[in-house]
Amino acid sequence: MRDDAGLRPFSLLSPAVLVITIGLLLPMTMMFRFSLNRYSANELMTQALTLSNYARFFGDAFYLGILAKTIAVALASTVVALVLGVPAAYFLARLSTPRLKSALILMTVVPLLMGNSVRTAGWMVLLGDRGLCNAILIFLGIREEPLRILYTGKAVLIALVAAILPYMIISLQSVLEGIERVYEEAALTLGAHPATMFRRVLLPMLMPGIFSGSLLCFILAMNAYATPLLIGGPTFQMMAPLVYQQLTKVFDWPFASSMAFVLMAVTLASVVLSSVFIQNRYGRL
Amino acid sequence: MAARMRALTGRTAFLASVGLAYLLVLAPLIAVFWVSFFRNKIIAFPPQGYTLAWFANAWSLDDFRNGFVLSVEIGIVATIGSLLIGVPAALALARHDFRGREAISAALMSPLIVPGIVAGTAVYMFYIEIETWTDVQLAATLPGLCLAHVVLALPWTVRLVTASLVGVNRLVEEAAMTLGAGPALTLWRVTLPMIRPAIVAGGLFSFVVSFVDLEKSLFLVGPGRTTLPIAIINYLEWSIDPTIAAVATIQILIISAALLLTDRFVKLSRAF
Amino acid sequence: MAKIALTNLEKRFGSFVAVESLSLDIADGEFLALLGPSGCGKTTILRMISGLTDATGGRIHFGARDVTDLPPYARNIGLVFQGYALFPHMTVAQNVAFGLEMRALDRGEIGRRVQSALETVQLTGLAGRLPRQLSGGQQQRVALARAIVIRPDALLLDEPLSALDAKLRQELRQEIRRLQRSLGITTICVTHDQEEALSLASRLVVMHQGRIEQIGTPSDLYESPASRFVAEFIGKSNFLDGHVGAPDEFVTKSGFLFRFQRRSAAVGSRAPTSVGFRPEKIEMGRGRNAALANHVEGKVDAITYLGATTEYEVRLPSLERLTVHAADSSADPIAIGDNVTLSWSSEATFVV
Repeated sequence: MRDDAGLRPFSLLSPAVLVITIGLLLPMTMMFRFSLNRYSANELMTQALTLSNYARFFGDAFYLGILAKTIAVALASTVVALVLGVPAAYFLARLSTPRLKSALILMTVVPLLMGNSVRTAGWMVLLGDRGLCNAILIFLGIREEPLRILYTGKAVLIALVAAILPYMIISLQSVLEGIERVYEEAALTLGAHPATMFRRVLLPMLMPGIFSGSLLCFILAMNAYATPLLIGGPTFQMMAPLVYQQLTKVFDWPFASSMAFVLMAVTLASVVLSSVFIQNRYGRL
Repeated sequence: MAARMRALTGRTAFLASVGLAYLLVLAPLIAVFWVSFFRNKIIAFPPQGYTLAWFANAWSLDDFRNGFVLSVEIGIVATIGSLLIGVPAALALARHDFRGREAISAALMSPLIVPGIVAGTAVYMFYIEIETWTDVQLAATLPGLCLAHVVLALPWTVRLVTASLVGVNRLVEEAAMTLGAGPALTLWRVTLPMIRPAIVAGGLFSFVVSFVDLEKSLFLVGPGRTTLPIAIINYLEWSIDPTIAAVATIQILIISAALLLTDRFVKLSRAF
Repeated sequence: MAKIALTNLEKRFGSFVAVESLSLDIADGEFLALLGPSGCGKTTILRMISGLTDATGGRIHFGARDVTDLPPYARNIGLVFQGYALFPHMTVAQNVAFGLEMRALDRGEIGRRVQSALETVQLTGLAGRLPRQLSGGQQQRVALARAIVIRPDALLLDEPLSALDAKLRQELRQEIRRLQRSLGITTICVTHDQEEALSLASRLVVMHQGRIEQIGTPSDLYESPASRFVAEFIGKSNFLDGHVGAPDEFVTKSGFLFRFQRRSAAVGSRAPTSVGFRPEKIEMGRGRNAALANHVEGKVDAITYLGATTEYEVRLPSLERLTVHAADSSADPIAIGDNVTLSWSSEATFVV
């Protein structure tokens, strides 16, 4: 076994490595290179080594505004998802009936993997001017005119929260499962009210889950495409639809590449920052 | 008494927020499911009756029918592809220690980290570049889409199978060897049967993540050749009606069935 | 510190009765042990006293205070958990201070009391450590300090020493006993380890299937067990089946006649069906000891050296087997196959 140990993993791994290289790593590298090229109206792109695309992005209030709005929306939806996710994850982790628990886990994971198109369709059916919510509101006599929800920032926030919430719940739940109930009981017997117990005992122990869950949700919300495009409407601009437009409508490859990289960089930076923070605070996970 | 009251109020608030969370998560799915059976074309409440006509209507539209067929095809290819290359990779990662193991493992997991829009942009330009250099068309072709989807599915297979292999007691494999089974026979008769649930789950997960993908596929489909999620999005730009609800319902049913099946092999809570 | 009274306490999980109408008074300052195999309901009782599990019936009083409906945080108890449950993100001092902070004491007072509690358990130097940097024995002491520092009405110990090795267990047993005496704190200890219960508590409650089998001092339980269950759970016993002949005479199925003096209370009106005697109460020799009331002859089948004593398996002519614990007599060593006579007193004989 030892003799060919160097050869066997190589042959087992090479197809997978090849596919990932061609299907992702090479394209990503190439995209980075393209982001340093120059756009030309005639031949689409000319070879160059310039930071002008990045300069254009960061020099233009329009693009900066979209980036800022994307980050703000992503942060807001992450915070809401966290606030809603903690009780849900706690409820899920502490359920003692196994059947109810696996049913609830399925009700978390199935929406998580349902895909953004179906979820978007659902919110549009619900929130549209002539959607289900308005039909019910008018039926109940609460409103005479349809309530404008779809194509507003509120609708985007609701839909984004709903999209990332399952990820938050699952991330928190997996950490909570590892925190034995006995710590809560110890705090209670020592005189802590449930709310104090949560703040002083559970929350500090849950921090790693809060960070990994929030990070995941932030990244997903940053890169949301269908939700801002369809639920926010044409005036609601976020980064992902902008990249798509630049590439497929404007055909400005270098600029689209640089914007994709800005998006990626914000994502990567948050990963790095938070993992450094977590390691400093809580040791290697 | 005051303590009891406070505890009761706290508990009510807690349960209410749990309810709100699940309402948000499930509402869009329940809504499309329900509306897809409404008789009237304009969504009204209460519904004037129920019908299955919208499912027939959806199937009669080329975009949805072709999109469905294409998504199933790509899903199957992604499943087979990710198993064929993912299971050997998992074997190497779980059973061998070699230099660069961590880096390769990270590379194989990278499709999970790179956002769909970013990856789609990169792959789209890469395909066009390849075409200009070699005249091989990948963008807007089935092979091009399939390659992208195998990449999408691969980390799930690798992760599930590796986790399962790590859980398999090596002593069992060594016992088989001492009983005279060679490495190949041990793999075939002992190791693979033991990780079968993870392989099945990996395949089903591959199908699911491929079937529902929107952002990455967006760049790689061609005119008249879209996947079901993209057909849904395109339709939504123009109208919101029971037909689109019926299409979404079909996707809900397929994905739910696949995930329920997966759950029988590997508990879904352990897949993440 | 207070007397604890449990009145008709009951816990049902659906149709399963975990604790059946249990009444028990624990005196102020008493050290009581709840002893029984796992699943006998002893932990459920502890959890009901602490408020972590709701009772489905009955009342719990701490002194004059009815605490049955109080949540755990309003009961003022000190509970030492089986795995200690030290908060992993807090230092030793923070762990011990937690209960005091919940009582909103001022900082100076908290500091003083934490300091003195840590002195009591001899951990003064480790105040700044995190639980994971401590040994098992040290963690157990922190758990103890955390429980007593709040001056609880009752100290509850849930299998307090089960996670430690034998030597450390011995040491900590002494320390818990000393601490409990000096603080005069009403203490209930739940354990499945008879040795732990016998050495710690002044009174023992043996539980079986949600009910009390026997309450008594360690020697009560040992010398006159109330049931076969108690006799088998605490120490080793020989049992022979049969029936009572004359008022103080038991006739075994195999025809032996044994005199007994102890009849367990629990048997009540039911006729006893077994006679029992402890292995170490038996004298074994080549001839009979006429001073003792009961005798039987047999052949040594197996010998196991146990250190301080030696265990002999003796087969009777009736093929029944008895276990004898005796010091090895080097002058005339008994070997496998030897014929021996066993003698024991009627005082050491009980029927259940």
